[in-house]
Amino acid sequence: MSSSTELTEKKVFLLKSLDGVIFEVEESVAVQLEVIRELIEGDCARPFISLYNVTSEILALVIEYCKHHAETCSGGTSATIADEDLKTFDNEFMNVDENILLELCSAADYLDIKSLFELTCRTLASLIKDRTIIEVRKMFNVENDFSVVEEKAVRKEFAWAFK
Amino acid sequence: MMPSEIVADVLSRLPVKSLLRFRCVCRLWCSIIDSQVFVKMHLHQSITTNSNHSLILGGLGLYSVALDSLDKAHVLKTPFYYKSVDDISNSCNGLILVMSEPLILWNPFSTKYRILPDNPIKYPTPLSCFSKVIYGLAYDSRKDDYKVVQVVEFRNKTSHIWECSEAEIYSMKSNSWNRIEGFSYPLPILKGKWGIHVNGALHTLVEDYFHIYSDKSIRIMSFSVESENHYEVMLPPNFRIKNVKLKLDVLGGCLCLVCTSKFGASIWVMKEYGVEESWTKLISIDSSTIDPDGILRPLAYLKPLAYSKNCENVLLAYDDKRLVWYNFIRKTIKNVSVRGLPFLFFPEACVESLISPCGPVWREGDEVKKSAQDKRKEKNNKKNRDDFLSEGFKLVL
Repeated sequence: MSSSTELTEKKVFLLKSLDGVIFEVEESVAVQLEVIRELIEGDCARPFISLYNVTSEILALVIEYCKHHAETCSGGTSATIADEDLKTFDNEFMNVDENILLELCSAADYLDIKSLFELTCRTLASLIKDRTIIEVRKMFNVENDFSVVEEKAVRKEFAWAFK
Repeated sequence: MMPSEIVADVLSRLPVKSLLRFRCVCRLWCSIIDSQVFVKMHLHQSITTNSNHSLILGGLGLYSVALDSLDKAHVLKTPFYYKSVDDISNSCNGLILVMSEPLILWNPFSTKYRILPDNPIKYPTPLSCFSKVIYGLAYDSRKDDYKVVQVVEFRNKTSHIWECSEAEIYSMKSNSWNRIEGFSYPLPILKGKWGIHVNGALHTLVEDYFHIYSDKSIRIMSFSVESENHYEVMLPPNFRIKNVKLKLDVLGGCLCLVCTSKFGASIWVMKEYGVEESWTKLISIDSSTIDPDGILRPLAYLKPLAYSKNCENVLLAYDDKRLVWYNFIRKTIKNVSVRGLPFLFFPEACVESLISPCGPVWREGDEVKKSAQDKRKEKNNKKNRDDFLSEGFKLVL
């Protein structure tokens, strides 16, 4: 962080979720959202920022994640301990309902939080790896738009992969 | 529903088998998985995160062992006629060349394959010589093309001394063979595979004897499939080669040198390709190495295969008969027991990919869809930022 920000008092940002809930976050947390960091660097950041694509439930989780990561990284602990701590936190953090996980993934993409996006993508991938087509469709809320004949043909192409 | 770019990001972290199943989820998922952009994204993801890797074992039959679990050797059934004596080449982005007649370019993970056209160029063998054919597989990143190099060596019948070589290169894109001019050095004669593929080039150790009783000198020669030029890669500075058996190999995408002597073995890695100073001694196996079961006795050829996920261990093949983990921190050797491993095997570490040996399958509209996707993302990003800005300004004004 630049020395000019250190001299001034701790900057606080207000983040407003899609459903109108306002969250107060310190700059160290807000900068973890790449979209906000870019605004700050470009000197375009205003103290009040609306996030249209994120509900309060998800935003609360995102802020919890960023807070923990900001605190662990700035705390005086050694790199290896901090690393271990973040790993444990991330594992517990991913222990959420699948629908929330999907929303967290989309939010991490929208807010451009690389580490959270990576974490959610990885978790989702390991969840679906061995699932059936029907389970995956249900989880991702996608409709099967193949005709019966088409689906059969696509399935036949790599029939061994279904064994 | 999730935007397709995010779906692609999640899917790019899956093994090939799951992806081939998930083509059936819906049309969108099928078109994502089949697109060339995704195939490359998936390959890149697997390489950078050191995931989705397998060992492909040649030698007596074909087997695969998933590197993440290392539990069982699965017999690979080939969709083409395969004789167990047929050798396999090095692997390149998930593709392998089966050195049968005819030659077959094969992706063992998607099971797709292509039979290579017969090389029309034939050379008469001089009476005093016998000929030997050697292959290497490489990727030309400039042309985004996979290439097979075939070298026919002529060696003296009695002395086995190399006399000359003729070489051809096959391009997957053009599906044809072309002659390479001037191949002026011999390739390893026994079992030695030529396919040390790094940076779009195939590498080999060349021994030069100036006089039968004098010391030999050694150099690394490489052939780039991109420029079709030969060039030398420097050995580690002040490298001692006396009384040492040397082999060239690849580990984690880097060129490496395996040195075995009476007293121990060491493995050097060229961390930055082409930079002589970047050669680093990675492993040193000597009397201080902890090997309570005497797994590495007597010391024989060690082939480095892969790093473990946490990068604390490296997987080695010992004498083509067993697999061992070497731990960098504790300097220990640990046996890896894999069920169903054949008695003798020639392992190749291979990244699982969807790269098709049949070349890209162009579907109508693929290009159009991609550019539309890009535009959408661009527009979205712009919109997001405008929203932030307008909200901020509104408040100030």
